[in-house]
Amino acid sequence: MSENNAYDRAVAQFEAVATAPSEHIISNPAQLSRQANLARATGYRLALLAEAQSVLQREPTGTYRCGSLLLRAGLSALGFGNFAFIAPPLLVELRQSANLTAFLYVISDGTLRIGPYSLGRSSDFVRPNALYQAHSYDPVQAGDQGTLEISCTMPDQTKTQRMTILHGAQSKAGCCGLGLMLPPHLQTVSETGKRALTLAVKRFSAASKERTNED
Amino acid sequence: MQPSSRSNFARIAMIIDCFDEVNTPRKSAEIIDLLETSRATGFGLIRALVKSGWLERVDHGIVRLGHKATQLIHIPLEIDQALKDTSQFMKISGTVRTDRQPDRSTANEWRPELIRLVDTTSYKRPGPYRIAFANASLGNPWRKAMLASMRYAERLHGDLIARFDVSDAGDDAKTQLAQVNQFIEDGIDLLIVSQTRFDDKELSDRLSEIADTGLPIIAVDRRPDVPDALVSFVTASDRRIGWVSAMWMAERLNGQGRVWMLSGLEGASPAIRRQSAALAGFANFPGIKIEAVNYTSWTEEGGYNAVDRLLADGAEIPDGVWCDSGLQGIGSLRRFLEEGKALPAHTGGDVNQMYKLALHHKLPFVAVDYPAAMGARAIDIAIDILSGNRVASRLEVPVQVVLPRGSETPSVAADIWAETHVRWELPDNTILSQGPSLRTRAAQIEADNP
Repeated sequence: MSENNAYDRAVAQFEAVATAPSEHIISNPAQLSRQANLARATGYRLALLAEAQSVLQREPTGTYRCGSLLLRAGLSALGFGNFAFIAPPLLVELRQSANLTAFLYVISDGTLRIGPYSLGRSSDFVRPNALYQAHSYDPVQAGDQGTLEISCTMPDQTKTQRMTILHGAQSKAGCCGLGLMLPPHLQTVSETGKRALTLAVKRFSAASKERTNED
Repeated sequence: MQPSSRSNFARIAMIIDCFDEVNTPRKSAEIIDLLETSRATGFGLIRALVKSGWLERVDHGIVRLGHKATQLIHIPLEIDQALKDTSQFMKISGTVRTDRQPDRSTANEWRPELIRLVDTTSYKRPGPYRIAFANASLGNPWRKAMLASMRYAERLHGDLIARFDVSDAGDDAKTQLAQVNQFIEDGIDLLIVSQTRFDDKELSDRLSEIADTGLPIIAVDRRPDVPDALVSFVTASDRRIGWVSAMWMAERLNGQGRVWMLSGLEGASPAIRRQSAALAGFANFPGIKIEAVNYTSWTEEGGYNAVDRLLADGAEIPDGVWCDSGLQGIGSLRRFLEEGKALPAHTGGDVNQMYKLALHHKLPFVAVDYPAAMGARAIDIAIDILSGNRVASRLEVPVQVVLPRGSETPSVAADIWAETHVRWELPDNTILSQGPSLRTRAAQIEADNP
């Protein structure tokens, strides 16, 4: 069998299209073709397919972003697929209320991973890095409703990011919750922000229980 | 096996999407059956996905999502501003506020329907589908843009949609009722409705009857007063539009001043919600005096006439004019420009011309675009329902706060700067929030003017 057959190429094309918006701002199929290193005609065809299949989604401004299929697959791969529908509206609401970057985190196999996030704006703008994977933190117990400050150190040891997280739900795969990222000029989340986080997590927990009961 | 017209790209998407919420391993043969393709192609794709890490083999002939899929969880839910050109989006030295406050207590009104999922298995049927859209009207550019967005999604879903019929009720409830009845008589698989008036009982009752027969109904933009008749409601947060624009104006005026309010169409649900949220926002500022509340039918003429009447009655130019959309905001601005005096602060976006006028005249303003792209989302939801996928009972397309640089206030930050949002090269009546259908239009204009 060839080392790089038609199926390998198809998978490579899928990956190139699916991951392109996480690296660059892409506003049209031509840019997507360039970014994914595809022939223009192929890029156009795959862009339409990707959108129809929810691999990619387009903003009201026309800009591409990763679609709901990818988010669902990512969370399902870690055993947290239940939260793919619940988390996005809650995170957007939390970001709007707290004016800070809001995110879902999951802890499985002893590692905290930052999941989908809604970005804060202007001076409260913090873009979380996929490499924020905390391995040493105070264990978050099931049902823990306390807010705790943790530091996630990047592999190159040059950046530490403060964030406030609040445990929300426990599943077989581990536990998860919501959090807020602190911009450099803030030492702590304001009381209003903490209240918004507590409220969002409460809703998140209730919705998780409801989903678990439904399933 | 009958050859399938699906591409390998679509098959890969189907494979990645076929695992349950806890990644229970599945037999390769079972997955191939879902793909409706030859065994050689199915096994070839699964082998390639295992090789690249998207899937992992847990036993002979049994696979599940692999380590590459786990990396997908790190996804921005909106445009990732960090990737934007820094000169456009981040380099705003001297204008970024660091004293911003979180929204005040009633800024957001959480709706549990946003995370309530509807089981649609009873609506599942084989395609291609016949979908009808009973549109309230095509009376302003925003409504035309929403329809363009729907047409874009119709093309996107190509062979899944056999027919997409659209009616225009001209904002007349009786006409809309007749059109809905005609659609039902013609035979359709799903009805999308954007109701003329929220409180129209006759049409609401008829929609309830239709829903009882088992036909799925979606509302888009304007919903009827019978939530139980709907499988899903596709909209945007009118409350946020009203609240954010009112807060910006009150803070911009330092909590003191006279404000005129120009709402959209009397009786339409978005106009009611935006106005009530704005009034709640203004109520936080005792020094803000609401001098007039008028309706404009979301037209430029309506905005112009409303301001004209107030000025003719001898009113002094106010400190601010709150508009729930730029559709009437343009008319208001035009009338004030005729006065030749300092322009009052305005709110209301949506239309390209509003941005052009506001930036040209250096007008203090905020715009919260009501996304016409919700039209495409309604078609996506329609396809999901008819395919038997679970859908949210309410889907809100995010609204964007657009501000000229330097105009942020303690509680209102920009999602995007007006200077980068405006499209000087496109016609005045272009709706900027219509998603990719706008690109199609832009491409059309470029093609017409090479």
